[in-house]
Amino acid sequence: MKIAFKTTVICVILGYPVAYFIANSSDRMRNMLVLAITLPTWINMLVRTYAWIGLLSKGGLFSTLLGYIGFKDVEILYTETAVLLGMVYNFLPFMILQINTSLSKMDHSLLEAAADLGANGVHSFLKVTLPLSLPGVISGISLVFLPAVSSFFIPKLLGGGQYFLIGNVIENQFITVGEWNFGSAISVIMAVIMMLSMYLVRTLELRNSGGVREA
Amino acid sequence: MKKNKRIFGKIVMILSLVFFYLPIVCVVIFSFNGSKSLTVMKGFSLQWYERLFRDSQMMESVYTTVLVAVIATVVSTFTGTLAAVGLSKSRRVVKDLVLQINDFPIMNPEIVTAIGLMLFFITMRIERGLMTMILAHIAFCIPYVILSVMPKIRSLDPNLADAAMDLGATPWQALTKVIVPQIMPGVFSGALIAFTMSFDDFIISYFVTGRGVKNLSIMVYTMSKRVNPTINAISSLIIGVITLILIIINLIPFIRERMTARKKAAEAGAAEE
Repeated sequence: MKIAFKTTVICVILGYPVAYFIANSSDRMRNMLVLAITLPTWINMLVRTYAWIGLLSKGGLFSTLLGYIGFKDVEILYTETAVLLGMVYNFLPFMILQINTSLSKMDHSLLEAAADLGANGVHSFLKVTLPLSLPGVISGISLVFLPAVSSFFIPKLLGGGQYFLIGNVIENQFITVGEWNFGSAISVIMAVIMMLSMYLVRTLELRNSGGVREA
Repeated sequence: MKKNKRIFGKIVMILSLVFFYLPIVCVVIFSFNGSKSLTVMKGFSLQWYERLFRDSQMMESVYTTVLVAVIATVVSTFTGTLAAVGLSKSRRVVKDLVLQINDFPIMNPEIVTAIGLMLFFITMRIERGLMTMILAHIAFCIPYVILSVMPKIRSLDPNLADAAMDLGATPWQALTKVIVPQIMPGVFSGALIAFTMSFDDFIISYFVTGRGVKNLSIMVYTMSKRVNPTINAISSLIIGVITLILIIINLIPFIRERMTARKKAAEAGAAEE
């Protein structure tokens, strides 16, 4: 649970600047970049997670690099960091794409208007860009948090079975323990959370588009 | 200051692209490794591919994956397209409702869908195996097909079918000769998406499959518990297939754009003369 939460926070922090950059580049560039970010998401998550085992294991590329900057013999594989890394890696594209969509939809004349009215860069970002991209951020969060909570093979592969997320619990209940009712109950709760977040995103988007029309 | 921001953005962008692609590239490189290690490169060799093709269990899973993916693609494309055509003609309330329900399995955490399907098969007393895997794959592919066909239909003239039938076409002819050719790009990309989704699926297959029936992803999962470079080889193959399909999907609109642009240019040239 905590890991999924951290994953989501990291994804927002990392994803927002990337999405902001993509949304502000030229049309051609934007399409290319969106394609470049979408491509990996189509490749099997399992395969991409497996790739990290090689990178993170002792003597692998990652620990060698860390060795160069002074951290010698850090064991990353089978720690919480490894799980976190794998999750961020797998789910970050969703966040970027969601935020990018809502940023690209934004009316750029609004920013000019803000500047005309005397807002400086930071100010207009906080008061105009951020609120308008909020639906993207929220749907990004739901697209990251829910799969993150429910993923079971990432923690299993990269965490060596020490870290449990709801996904692992569900898998355990069904495959090992055989308590289907409990597993189903958790699944239902997750589905309900998902519907709520979808609803929230939709209302926010409606309100925003309404606001733009009024302006 | 503005320039600084640009450079900063570029650095962030490049770093994130490296982050996304590095592991994938590494898998492909290490699949050609001469030794068993996942960390040290020792010469170029194809031994893991060789071992892969000799492994009968492995080849069987390749066969299962392709079979399931092909059947699921054909059936879900057919059903999804028909559903989309039908939806475009239904009342608004029905359409909105169905489309909303259609979004649900796409947004739903995969594991929830997987469990739902598994419980369904168990209650229906369908023995889990190849058949259930195919059924499950068809089920989760249809929403994607509908989603990719729907916008194409929306851009069609709603009177097109009526016009065709006024001109003497039977409803079936109107569908196959008029509507379907118009929405073909959407159908095609829907089919490709369905194929990649099915080819790639792990979680749902993992829950609905029965004894002995394994697709590639399940194979990778069961093998990945110990170090085994064959996984790199099989992963590279999966990556290769998916990348190829994706390139095809993304090139098609590009090529079409080129063609129409050229056509337009030619027409403009002709008009000038």
